[in-house]
Amino acid sequence: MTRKHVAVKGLNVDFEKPVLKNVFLDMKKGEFVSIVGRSGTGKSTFLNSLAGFMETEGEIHGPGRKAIVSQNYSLFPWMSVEENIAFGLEKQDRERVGKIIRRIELEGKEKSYPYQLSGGQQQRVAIGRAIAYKPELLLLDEPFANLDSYTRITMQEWLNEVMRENKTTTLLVTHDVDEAILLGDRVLVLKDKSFRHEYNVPFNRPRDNEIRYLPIFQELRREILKSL
Amino acid sequence: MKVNWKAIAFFLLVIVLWQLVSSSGLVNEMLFPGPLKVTSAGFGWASSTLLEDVSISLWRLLAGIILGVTLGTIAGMLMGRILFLEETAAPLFHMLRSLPPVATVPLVIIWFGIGEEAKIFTIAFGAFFPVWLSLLIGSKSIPIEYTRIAQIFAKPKIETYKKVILPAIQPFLMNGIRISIGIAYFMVFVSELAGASSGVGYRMAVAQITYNADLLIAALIVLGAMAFLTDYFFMRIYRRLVHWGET
Repeated sequence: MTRKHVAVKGLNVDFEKPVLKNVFLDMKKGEFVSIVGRSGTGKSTFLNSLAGFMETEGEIHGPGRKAIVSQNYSLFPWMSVEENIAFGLEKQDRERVGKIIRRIELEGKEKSYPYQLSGGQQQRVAIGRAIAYKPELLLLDEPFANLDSYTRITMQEWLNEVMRENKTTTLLVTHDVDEAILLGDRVLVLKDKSFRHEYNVPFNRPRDNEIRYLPIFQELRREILKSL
Repeated sequence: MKVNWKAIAFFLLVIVLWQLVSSSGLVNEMLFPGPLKVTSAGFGWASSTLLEDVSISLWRLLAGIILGVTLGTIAGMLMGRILFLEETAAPLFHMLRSLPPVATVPLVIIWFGIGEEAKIFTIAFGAFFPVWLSLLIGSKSIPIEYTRIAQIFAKPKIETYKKVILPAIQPFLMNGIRISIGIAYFMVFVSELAGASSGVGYRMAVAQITYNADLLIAALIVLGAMAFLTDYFFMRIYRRLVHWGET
């Protein structure tokens, strides 16, 4: 039996009224789980609970070394690209910055500030900063929600490649069902304050964007959309 | 640097018209001296106490700003970050903020006399509130994602303050200081009108009592130039510090 890397048992979160109620989740090491749900169902609240940002009831077991990428304010505007990436690192690990900049394909932009980058480039830096930290659990909160559809597809392909190399346990929250299937090993549907449906994604890695035109992808997409 | 010829031409036109009106006999030249007389009074002042007056005014301005801005920064940040302090102390500060700083001058003279302390206190009082208010708002409007990123990377509190919170509030601090400088100039002038023996404001008070309109206008020009240059150099520092585009 594979040892659980993340285990959530009976999680409750209240903001005056319950947002999440009796939520359970297990994740294996290296697994990529996507969470989808309608707006306001508590997807980001769940992610923030795992990050340790919220007061919760219930049990959350998981690695201590985590990183998060959110859709807004991911980067510090007063720091250059390389300073942003180095933010989470100890002095002795700073040599990793150059390698990460090459991985996020931003050579020559090391000294640029976020306002000098496109939306896609900014999110690559944010993901680069998270990966540079070598987290044992990576939390992605709609990281591509603010990007145009072309950049979004390019970024999804890029993230698929990066995740294949790093094999980091990852939890993605998204409202885009295609993105959830394309990136995830499993897709969970958050509805009525807890996970109501679970779907295994039947595609091996590496994946490319073309799988979204396969009938099996379309069938899975239809099923997930129906369950939302 | 691009030269604004239109502005220069307009400025020269105003000077010429001013001189023509002043020397036309239509107005009393003693009350409305032209630029030539004003320049002459300015040179006379320059050869006697101008440097001393400007230096002492600038010193009072700087001391008042440093004191007001420092206290305003501390109070604004504490109240912006600690809800209990904001709920307790901010209403009183808002009441004091709505007082015209000039209205405090008589009381300050009773407390501190007419020495340097009184002037610096008056200037600091005026400079305090813009920075306090700016930082109260700024500290509360730091996006929560910034501190969360520091939290998830397990950054110690001191490092979070140094690398995240202080840079995030820097635009608010700088905007507050800019407004404080404007008010401080006003307060320097007011404080030197009442019971000073040096400074640009004092020189203007003397010129007014002696009906010396040419020196009065020369002093106004010097005061204006000081304020303009202070703002110019401050904005250069501002752009150097808050260089990341978005504020």
